[in-house]
Amino acid sequence: MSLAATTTTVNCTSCGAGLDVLGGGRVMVHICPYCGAELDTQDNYKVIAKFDGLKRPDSPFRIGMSGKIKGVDYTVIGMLEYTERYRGQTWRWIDHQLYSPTHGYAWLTIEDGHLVFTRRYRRPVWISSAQVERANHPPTVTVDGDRYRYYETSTGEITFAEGEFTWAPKIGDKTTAVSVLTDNAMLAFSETNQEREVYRSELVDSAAVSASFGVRNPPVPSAPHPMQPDTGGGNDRFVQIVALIAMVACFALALFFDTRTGAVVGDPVVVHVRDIPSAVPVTIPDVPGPVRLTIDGTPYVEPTLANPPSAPVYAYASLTLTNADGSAVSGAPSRARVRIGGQRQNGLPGGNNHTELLFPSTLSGSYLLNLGWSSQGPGSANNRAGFQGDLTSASQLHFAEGTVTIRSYAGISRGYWLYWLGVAFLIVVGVSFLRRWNFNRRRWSGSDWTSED
Amino acid sequence: MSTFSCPNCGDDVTPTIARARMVTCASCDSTILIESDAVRLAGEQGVMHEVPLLFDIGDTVICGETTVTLHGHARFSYGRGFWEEFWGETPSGDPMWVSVDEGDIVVQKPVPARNYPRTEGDFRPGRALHCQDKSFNVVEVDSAECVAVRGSFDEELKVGETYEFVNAQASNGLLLSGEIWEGGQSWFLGYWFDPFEITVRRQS
Repeated sequence: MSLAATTTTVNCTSCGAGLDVLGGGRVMVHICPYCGAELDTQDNYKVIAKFDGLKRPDSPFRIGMSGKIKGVDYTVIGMLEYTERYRGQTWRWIDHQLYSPTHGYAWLTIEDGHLVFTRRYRRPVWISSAQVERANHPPTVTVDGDRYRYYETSTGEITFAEGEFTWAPKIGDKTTAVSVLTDNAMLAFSETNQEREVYRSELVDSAAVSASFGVRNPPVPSAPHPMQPDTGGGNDRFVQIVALIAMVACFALALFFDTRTGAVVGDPVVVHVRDIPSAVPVTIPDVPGPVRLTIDGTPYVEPTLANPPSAPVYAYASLTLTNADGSAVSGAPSRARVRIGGQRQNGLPGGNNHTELLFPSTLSGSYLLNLGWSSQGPGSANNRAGFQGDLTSASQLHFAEGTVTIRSYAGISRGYWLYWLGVAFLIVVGVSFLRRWNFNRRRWSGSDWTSED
Repeated sequence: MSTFSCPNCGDDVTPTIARARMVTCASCDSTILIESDAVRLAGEQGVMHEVPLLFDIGDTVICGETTVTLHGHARFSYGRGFWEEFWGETPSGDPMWVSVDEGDIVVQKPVPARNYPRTEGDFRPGRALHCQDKSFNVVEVDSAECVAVRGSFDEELKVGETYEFVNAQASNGLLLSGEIWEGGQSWFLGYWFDPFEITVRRQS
């Protein structure tokens, strides 16, 4: 409905002051800013209430100011101050009733220095305060693809009113509203006069809107607002997706490179257990890339004990790599040990009977692999054989037959650094999620939901 | 629809759609009823004061999944103000009404007469209505006068006639609206739309 074009001013039927009529056909009352009389616009501006001695709240927006919000011309036609008191704390906010001939009525609210634009929302969604009381988890509603989660229940009391309104506010009237929050908007559910109303709020650019309304000193935010956009991570989604893809690619490539075991170079060197301790010459070929030295012990060895235990017998051979002149090798791993035996009959090679030494490509040359004895077992076999002390000779072994096989592999690749790169991308993803989590923690810090609710 | 002469001033009148039953003459103040074999004067079209409008005759309005091209514009007054009703057609030729009431837009299609809700007794806010297997609660009852018409319509509207109108809301947001006048009634079913969410293609 649009206001009849001829109606522009009326005289207050209480004090006679001239009142500009700005608010369109849905206006129900006009509260005189001079005398505080509430006039019934549908009944010849009859006085229906009077609010004396009210202190006008400090707002840079005044009745009659016009400006653009979201590209639409609005005029301030009324002003309400709400006060909420809870556990000794007091909050105040100012609602400005707006009117547009084409887009109808709306509210512009100053909250902690932020400008909030609110309009009636006619989607069939509803959450009551009773639902909130009964809920074990924060109630949610999903509408138009946005998921809203319970934020707070607040009861505001009208402590100041002037101008035109589409309903009849009274000083002291209390309204309870349940609010739910999504990324950049809030819905408020309130029930008044047997009518359920849903309003949708969003933040508007305070500087731009203030300038449009001719406000010289726009409100200055004093605290972050729950609807404030996450400006710190504008590319969060992009970064997360790219980093996740890169991380998966790194790990996949690392696995791929790790599976490239290369090809055996030269003949394997087989050392019989009875020849240990011994020093075996090994040659690290001069080839591009690293060279892997693999050492495999016989998986199963036949015990020579007269009364063998049920558990398989085994021994550990120590491996020490030295230069050909017996000096220590630097720049490559030089110590290891390999198990001989320890598996049941028909045991497979590899696993616990396998060890490796990896040589960087720069360490080609001739070396000595010194094999000695480390220990043997199991304990039950040692007890039955009366073995104790150090294992130094093959003659002390619980078995007679077994070998250690040494092979050199070239043409191998490793995913080592790719794993680290993948971890770095994982950290990038983690930091991004952590920043988002911290942002959400701050924006939800004002919620009154507690798990005891 | 072919052009015919205005029975009042003789100027050419061309309805914008073939199904038009009522048109207004752009040259004089007349509304013209189109009957099967003749046209006749139906009255005056009233004075349509210029006010800011979201859309106008000739525009195509896209509200959600509904697209309506507007052919007629009627204004209803309730004393202190008025609201606008636009009549139009979807691309498939279905008739639609697009109402603009203080920034709230309602797009509704006519309810077939066999599905009209039972209307015994007075309407009052809170009363339950049933229409097309859905329940509605009356949220608004008032009366309004048709004060001006422009363009083409598929039904007769009389400037100066007073209607009782009823709005009833279903729990899923569906809006049932009724217009009741002496000797007749019409019902319409549709949804609210936000003016910030609609798209208007202006006539070229």
